[in-house]
Amino acid sequence: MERLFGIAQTTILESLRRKDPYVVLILGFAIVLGAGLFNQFGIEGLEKFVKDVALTVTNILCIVLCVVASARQFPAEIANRTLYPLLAKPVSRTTVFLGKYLGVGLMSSAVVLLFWVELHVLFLVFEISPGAIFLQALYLRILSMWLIAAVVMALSLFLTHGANVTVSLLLCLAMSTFANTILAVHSELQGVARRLAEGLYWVVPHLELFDLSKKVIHEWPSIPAGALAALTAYAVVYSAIFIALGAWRFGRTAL
Amino acid sequence: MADQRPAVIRVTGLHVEFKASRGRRVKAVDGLDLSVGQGEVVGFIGPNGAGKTTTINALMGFIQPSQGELSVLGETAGSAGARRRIGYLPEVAVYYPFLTAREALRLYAKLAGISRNHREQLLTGLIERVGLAGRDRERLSGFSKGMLQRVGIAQAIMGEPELLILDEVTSGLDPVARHDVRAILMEFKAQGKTVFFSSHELTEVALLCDRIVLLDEGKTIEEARLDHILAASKSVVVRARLDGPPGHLPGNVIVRSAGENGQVYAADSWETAQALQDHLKAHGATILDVNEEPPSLEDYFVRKLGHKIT
Repeated sequence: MERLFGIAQTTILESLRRKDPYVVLILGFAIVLGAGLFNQFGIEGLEKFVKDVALTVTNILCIVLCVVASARQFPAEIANRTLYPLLAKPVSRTTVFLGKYLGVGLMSSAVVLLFWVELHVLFLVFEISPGAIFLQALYLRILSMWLIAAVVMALSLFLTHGANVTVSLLLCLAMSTFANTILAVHSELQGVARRLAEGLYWVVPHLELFDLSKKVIHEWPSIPAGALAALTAYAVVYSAIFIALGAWRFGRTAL
Repeated sequence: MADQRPAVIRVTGLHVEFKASRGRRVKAVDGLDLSVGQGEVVGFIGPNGAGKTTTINALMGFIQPSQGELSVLGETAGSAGARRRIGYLPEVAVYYPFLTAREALRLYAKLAGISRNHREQLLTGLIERVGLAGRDRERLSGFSKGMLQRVGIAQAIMGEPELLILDEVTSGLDPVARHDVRAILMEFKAQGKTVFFSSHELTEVALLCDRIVLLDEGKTIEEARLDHILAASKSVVVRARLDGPPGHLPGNVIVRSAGENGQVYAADSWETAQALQDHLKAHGATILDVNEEPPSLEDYFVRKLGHKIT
């Protein structure tokens, strides 16, 4: 376990010393604060606008950070040959893969958590009540970070770095919009197009399920524990598939 | 062959192929056989592209050979069991630039399975041993190549491995760093440990090795004790003073140096030396002296492979 945590710790240190999380947090804070100032005009219903901007910015920045951090792990290590002295020690490639995954997952989760603390403080300052669903949104956002990290790290061993970042960002940011579109157009499609749409629906990660932003904005009541459990199971299974795929591929990659 | 000592490294019929452009396949190693005995210091030499690093990568399990059998310390090459007992230094000093030297070594110590209780003490000792005391809290991004190589040596000798595999160990180092690396390797040699290293620095190879394995185009050209090789060859050294260019030298003549005090050539026999003298005189040279001297490893290397080097 010490080997696993050693690699995870190094992955986190790399992100911290590259200052990625700080940049994202400061940028996010500036945008959210800017949006929060609108609330001072006393216009009725404007708190929804503030919450919308704050949560959208936070979600996008967290996803971008997670994708970028996950995508660079293996291509950079292989190109810079930093894996050589690492793998010369009695450590399996699976442990290296899992250690890096753990590092990216923990770092991304910590950034989401800090964002949520930042948002909560901001909401309190501007007298906006986030409601109990705010915490559920935090949990699901953190869960989605682990899912994204698994997918992107696995893809990084199949695609070039640039292609992986582009595909992953498109996949993550577009799923919120297009997942429901696939369902909507499904009944209209026929033949190959219908089968393609079905295949796409089952293969792509349903990140839209992990986004409770709209429910937070419109102050919905908490979602049932059963739904949370189902989403947790979905994230775990989906991540496990991609972790297995990535670890398998990494085990066969010539350095 | 590796005397009667038990083999620490055994490679039989190693073939490694890489995919090249347009579906072509390039042979990097082509049926290599190799054996390194316990306690031996073996130099792995050959021109660029001979397959030295590829062979070492196969021994470490970084690449899968297309064919062949490799065992290290009686275990399958690349297995965790083998790697636990090997100290490895890669060709290029490549360590995480965002870590300090101590943090990097701590990471490698964790991966090597060195217990937490002994770790810091071990690191301090290693840092002093490789001459990085006082610099260990600095980030590697600010280190020179020589200092990075010292970090590399420290991680390689960590935990007193039974076998050291070093790829181009002194490449690009300044004379002081090279001397320090040599001292560490000599220490290992004195302890009876096995060292297998590739190098272009033939002076280092001659100083350290019991035996050499000469590789070219992925095949073993020669595998012999260094003293046997040097005893079997001869160098007749001709010193001459020549103002103009020497023209096309006779075969098997090596230019050793050309300075203010004249040019120094090494021939492989007295007959060749005589032909060389006649050639140089015809180009207006004054012959200063002619002596038979112990051949250098470089003379041997160039004679064996020089005709291929362009």
